[in-house]
Order: sequence, then structure tokens, then C-alpha cells
Amino acid sequence: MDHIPDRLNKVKAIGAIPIDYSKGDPVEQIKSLRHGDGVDKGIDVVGYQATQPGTGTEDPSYVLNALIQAVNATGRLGIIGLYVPTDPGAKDPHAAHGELMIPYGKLWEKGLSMGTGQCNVKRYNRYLRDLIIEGRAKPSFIVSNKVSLDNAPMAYDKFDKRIDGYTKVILKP
Amino acid sequence: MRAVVYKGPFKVGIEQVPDPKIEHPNDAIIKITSTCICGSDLHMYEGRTVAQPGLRFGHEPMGIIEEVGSAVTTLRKGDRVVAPFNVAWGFCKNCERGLTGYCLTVNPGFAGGAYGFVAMGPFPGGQAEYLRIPYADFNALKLPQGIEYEDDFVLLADIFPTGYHGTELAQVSPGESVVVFGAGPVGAMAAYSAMLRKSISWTTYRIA
Repeated sequence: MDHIPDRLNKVKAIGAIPIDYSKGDPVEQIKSLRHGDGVDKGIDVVGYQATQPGTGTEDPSYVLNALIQAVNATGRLGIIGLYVPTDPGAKDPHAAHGELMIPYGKLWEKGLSMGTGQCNVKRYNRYLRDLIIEGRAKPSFIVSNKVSLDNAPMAYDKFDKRIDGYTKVILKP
Repeated sequence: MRAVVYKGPFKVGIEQVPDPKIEHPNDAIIKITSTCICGSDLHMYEGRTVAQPGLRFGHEPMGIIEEVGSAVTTLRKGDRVVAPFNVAWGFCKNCERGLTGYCLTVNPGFAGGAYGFVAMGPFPGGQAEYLRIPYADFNALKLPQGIEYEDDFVLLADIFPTGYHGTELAQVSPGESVVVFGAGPVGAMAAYSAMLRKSISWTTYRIA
């Protein structure tokens, strides 16, 4: 899908090393980049609507499983990807109630720890604001489109389909 | 005023709705200048939550104060502010510890409130012309006057702090290697935040 290069190019532009899942198993790719090692920390930004590479099959525990493999023993996982206790569109009865299959034994064996949940914005926003004012952060690199409020239905449609470069949309009332 | 309203899976509309009013002495009303669509709106948009038609979307608003309630002490008409997507009252035991995403008083029977989001309390969304900010002294962050950094500041409502929160939950320290699964807007903010925290060899990855 052609939106993927767009997104990978954006993160590459800020200095990240992009990994394209279509080129092989992501955990193997990480370990290959790390000369056989895993990583110290892992962050899940995908959440419960994750899909498996290759097949595209929806698998709500895919990213959690991959992180448990990719993060080194005693490492830590930050889970900000959204998970819900009730999913009306789930593919199996467990997922419908937010019950996911993860290798808890491996997580325990590796001594991994995990932080979860939505952001407490007030804990950071004042300081991140000041980084912006001082020129130390410029997060707007991610903004792709600015459209009028009246065009929101079109913007939702394009953003949902990830077409025409719609990545981060600002509505202007 | 006009507002974005959920009409059912894969459908939103622009509807005329009543203008927000001051309902409590510490409320403020803002005239919205910028308001984002979030990837988390898409979970509702796709019908993958229990959100019901009629819900007004939008939790990434910024704008100019139009009116303040009689008890608002730090804000006045004309101030430029951004509102965290969290709505919090500020005086429960979670808020006292800085965990305002889990406010225990804002949304009885639940931990946490937000604008325009399923299960997060009776707060209409901010994809609209105006928005009521409850407990505005607590929930509005003042910004420099003018129009500078508009596209950066609006990201303070959610995705920049949320990406940063990912690095905080993972306790990212200088020199560490970090992998970020997901290279959409929040993934990019998490990767960017990891860089602000001087981690290295970090990688990112887009899952369709």
C-alpha cells in the first residue's frame, strides 16, 4: 500500500530507522539490525486493531507478542496503543471482551515489565509547550492536511483509508 | 454552531447544534481555531467501539477564550489556550498525583474523562466551532498570544504528550535502544519523544 512509504519516510526524516514489515518478520529485522540483540525498550502505538504482517489478518495481540519477543530480558514495554474492554467488531469471542492471548510465561521468564494506559496530558503539556517555544521541538512535521470543518466527512474518509497522504488532519472551523 | 457528529459506521456529518454555555462558575468557552482528527477517532468511526450515533467527535482542540465563568481566576477573554483531551476535575487522589487521565470525580463510575469519546463522560467533542472547557483553570493550558506555532501547539492536546507518555511508560533513558510499533502520527511522536530523551538505535515500524 503506497501510504506506507509516506509514513516510513516521515519517521526517517526525524532520524528513526524505519522497518518495513512487508520486507519480513519485524522481530527478525530488529534483531538483524541489532546484530542479534533485541532492544532495551518497546512501545506499542498500534493497539487492538493490529494486523499480522503478510496475511493482513486482524490479530489484537500481535504487537504485544512481538514486543515480548523483541525486548531484551528485564526490559520495559510502554503500551499506549488503544485496547478496549468491549469490541463489537472482534473476530473471536474472547477479543470481543478484550481478552487477548499473550505469552505471559515468556514475559515473566524475561522479567519484563509493562506500563499501560492513556496519557495524563497535564503531566507533560506545559513542558512540551516550552520545548516548542524554545525551538527544541517541532512536532508539526507530522501534519499533512488542513481542511475546513465542513470538509470533515471527506477528511475522515481519506484518513480512514490512508489515501492521498492523509496522515494528520487539522480542521479549521 | 456547526459540529462533527457520528452518524454510524464510516459516517460523520456536520450538524447545527446549540452553542455551549457556561454551566459552572469555573467553565470557559473557547472559539476553536484548530482541532485535529485523531487515529483514536477512527476506532469509533469504524464502528469498533460501543459509541452510539449522535456522539460529537473531537478531543484535540485549541482556540481563543470567548467567555469565562465567574470563578475562573487565571484566564480571560482573548487568551489563547489548548485543552488536554483528558477532562479532569483536579482534586481526586489520582489527579493529585498527576494521573489526570484517571480522574475519579469527572465521570462517576469510571476513571477518566475526555471530550467526544465513548465511555469518557458527557463532554461534547471539540470538532466544532466552540467548546466548553470544564474547570478551565485546571484544564486549559495558556499559550503565547498570536498565531505562531499553531500547528505545533494543537498537537499538545493529545498526540505529542501521548507519544511522550509511551516513552515515559517504557522509562526510556539516554542511550537505550527503543522500538516503536506503529509509524502513524502517534508512533512518529513516540519516536520523536524517544529522540528528545536521547535514546539511540531506535526503530519504528508500521503495521497496516
